[in-house]
Amino acid sequence: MRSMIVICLALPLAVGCAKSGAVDAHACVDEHGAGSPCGAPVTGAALTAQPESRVDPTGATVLHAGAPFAGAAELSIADLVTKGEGLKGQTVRVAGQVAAMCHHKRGWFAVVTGEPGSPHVRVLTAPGFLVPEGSIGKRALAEGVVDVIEINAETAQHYAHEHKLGEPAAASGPVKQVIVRATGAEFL
Amino acid sequence: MQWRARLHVLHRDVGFLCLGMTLVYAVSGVAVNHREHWDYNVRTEIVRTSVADAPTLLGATPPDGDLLRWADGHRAALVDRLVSLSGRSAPPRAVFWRGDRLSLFFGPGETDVLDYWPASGELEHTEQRDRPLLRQLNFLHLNEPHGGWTWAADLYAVALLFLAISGVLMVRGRRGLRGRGGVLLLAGVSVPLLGYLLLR
Repeated sequence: MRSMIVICLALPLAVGCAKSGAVDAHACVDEHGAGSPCGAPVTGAALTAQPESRVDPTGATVLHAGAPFAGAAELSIADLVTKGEGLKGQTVRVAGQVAAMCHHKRGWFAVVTGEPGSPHVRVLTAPGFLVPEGSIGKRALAEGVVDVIEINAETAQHYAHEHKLGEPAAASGPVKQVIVRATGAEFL
Repeated sequence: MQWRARLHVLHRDVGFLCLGMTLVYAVSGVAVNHREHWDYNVRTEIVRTSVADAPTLLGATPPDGDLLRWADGHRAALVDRLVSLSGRSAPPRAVFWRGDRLSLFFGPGETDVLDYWPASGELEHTEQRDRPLLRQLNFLHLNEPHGGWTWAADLYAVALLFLAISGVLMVRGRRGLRGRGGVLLLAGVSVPLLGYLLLR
């Protein structure tokens, strides 16, 4: 009976302790109040949906994840970064090399032009679809809606240290970031 | 045979049947539960060495100005030198700049990547390997195969449900629901209940 009393007392205590746990630096963080990845994981049918595979005219295998492209106008990464606020809400197409991706929940990837010193744009795929595994190093094309979010210093540090996106020194406070909330993307 | 005795036999047999699946889900469950602290599928090794800055490596003097642009102008030669320095013979499948580093991708994804900083001359080799056994367990636990495995996992879930319910019912008396078992049952049920109420 004594052991049972101990268990009964220990359980609520354990649950309480779990609630007050500190946030880990490696956490795949929910970076915006608007509520999206990595905080909002890919769920439901999107979680099990496999990207469609096809071979393009050059013989390269192309993976298409998410919805088919709607034919939005393509914008350069530089334009997205510099004119982000003015483009908010617009559906665009962006192309680039995949420089980083979320390994934990596969909820976003980052594209760069591939030129030295090129800025990056993060493309959020969750909750619509998963970034295919092994996408880093590939060329990507994505369509989605432009948004501007504010990420806190901790999250910016996470991107700088874990994904080498941006300078750690520049991430000492909240950072505004232009993102694309993708409806579909291709990887080749 | 009384129904409790039948239940006991069934509980025992289903218990034996469930051991393999339980190991898969328990081991992988702990691994995946801590996904915020580690990559449960892949082990990443990063080795950083100092080679030489780009002008030294290429034996050339860049004009005043942007070193990265100059290095990019000599990208092919730079890649050749880096491939040779790393002891490889095959060219990378992709090469592009990620900020101020030139990245050479050899394997799929980030399994084998060389990052080179032309200004400092630092070279970083990132190698990723599947965690042995854990990768396979996670493959099953996270239902990556889909299809038939979904049914196998459903069947296992039903078997677990049977084990839980039969376990509660097969003991009677002071050690059963009306005694020690009942108290433990309440304690066990309170875990998800309190977890939801306190942590949501």
